[in-house]
Amino acid sequence: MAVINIKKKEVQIKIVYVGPGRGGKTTNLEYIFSKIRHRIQSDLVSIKTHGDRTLFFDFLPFALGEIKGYKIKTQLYTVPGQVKYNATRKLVLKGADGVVFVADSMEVMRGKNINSLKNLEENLAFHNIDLYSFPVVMQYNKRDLAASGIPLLDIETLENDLNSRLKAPSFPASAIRGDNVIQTVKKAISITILAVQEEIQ
Amino acid sequence: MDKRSDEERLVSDIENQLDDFFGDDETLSTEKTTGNSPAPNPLEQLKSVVLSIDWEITDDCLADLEESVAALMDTYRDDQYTHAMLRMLNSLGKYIKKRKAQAHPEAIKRVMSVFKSLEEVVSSGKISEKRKKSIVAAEIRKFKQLKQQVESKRRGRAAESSKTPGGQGLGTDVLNEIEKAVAKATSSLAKELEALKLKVREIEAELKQFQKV
Repeated sequence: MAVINIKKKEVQIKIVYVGPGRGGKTTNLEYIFSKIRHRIQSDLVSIKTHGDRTLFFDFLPFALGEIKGYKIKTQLYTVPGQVKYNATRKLVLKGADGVVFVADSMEVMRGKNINSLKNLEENLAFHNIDLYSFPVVMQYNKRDLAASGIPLLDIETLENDLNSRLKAPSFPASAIRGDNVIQTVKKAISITILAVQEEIQ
Repeated sequence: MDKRSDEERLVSDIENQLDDFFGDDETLSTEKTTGNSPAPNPLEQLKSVVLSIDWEITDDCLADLEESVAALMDTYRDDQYTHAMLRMLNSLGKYIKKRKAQAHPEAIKRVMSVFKSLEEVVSSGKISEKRKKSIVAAEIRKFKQLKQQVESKRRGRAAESSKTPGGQGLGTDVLNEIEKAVAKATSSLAKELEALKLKVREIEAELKQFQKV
């Protein structure tokens, strides 16, 4: 739920990057941070294990500027993707206003993507949120691996598996190269602000 | 002003603000996608399998590991360091596949560590022979340690099973315990027999008295 301060004319939105482990959620945030670090005062906060996996979450707060006289403050979070950290995922999703689902395009990850989306649905339901009426952006990450000969799921399969019911805006992407990372976050912020605005009205 | 045009204006405001904030990243993205593709990484297939195992250990993943390692062993047959690490991955994969949930918990960690070292040796073009040797030596040492741990665990299990009655042989201390229990039971039975004999004698005496009367 967005934090709205009418007196200060401030709206704070929270967008959470979710998806299977090793799917590229943190890489998304790192790329975004590298693009905007010169214009923000905050840092990307990451809590990792020794194996470089996200243990708790990554957190990137920044002020976007003014829209319709309201200062928009955005907070981007990632959650740990590994199955065992579900309690953390639930906790980070609390108060979320929108999500970016980062799917791993590798063929071997097909089942993990589906399970992860199901897990997101359950975790949102835990906070009384219906995934199907919530601002979601789909990102099909790691498209660059096709050049290395790694078998990837085609976009149609990913759409069928993950987005046939959701019908969320979707982007093929390569977080490591930055392809469509900014487009994804822009879309996520845009649809989240719209949803928050509708909620206010 | 209707609601629809209000919303359209809001969307336009948001998009303008986002464009201002993030800049025009489209060009950058196009440049990147149309740039030279990176050289294919020979370990990518193995990497995706190892990452899958890190997530969940299934028979399919382990079969993929075996297959990927076999293909790379052929490619790197003349590179002693890389080949040694691939052999370790092969052994670890076979061991995990065989023992499944009973596999030593350290085995998966070894798979990850050996792969990381393998990646360092293969992907870092400028790495010196000395450094390669030291990386491989460290992995071999840890691999041997794991082997010893697995062996001692196996010996421990074998010794444990030999102590149980269903085991192949019985230990001396178990036999002693059984002998003691049998002796105790025998002595108790003997006492009961003596008591019974005494009772029979008493009854016989009473019977004689009764016949006289």
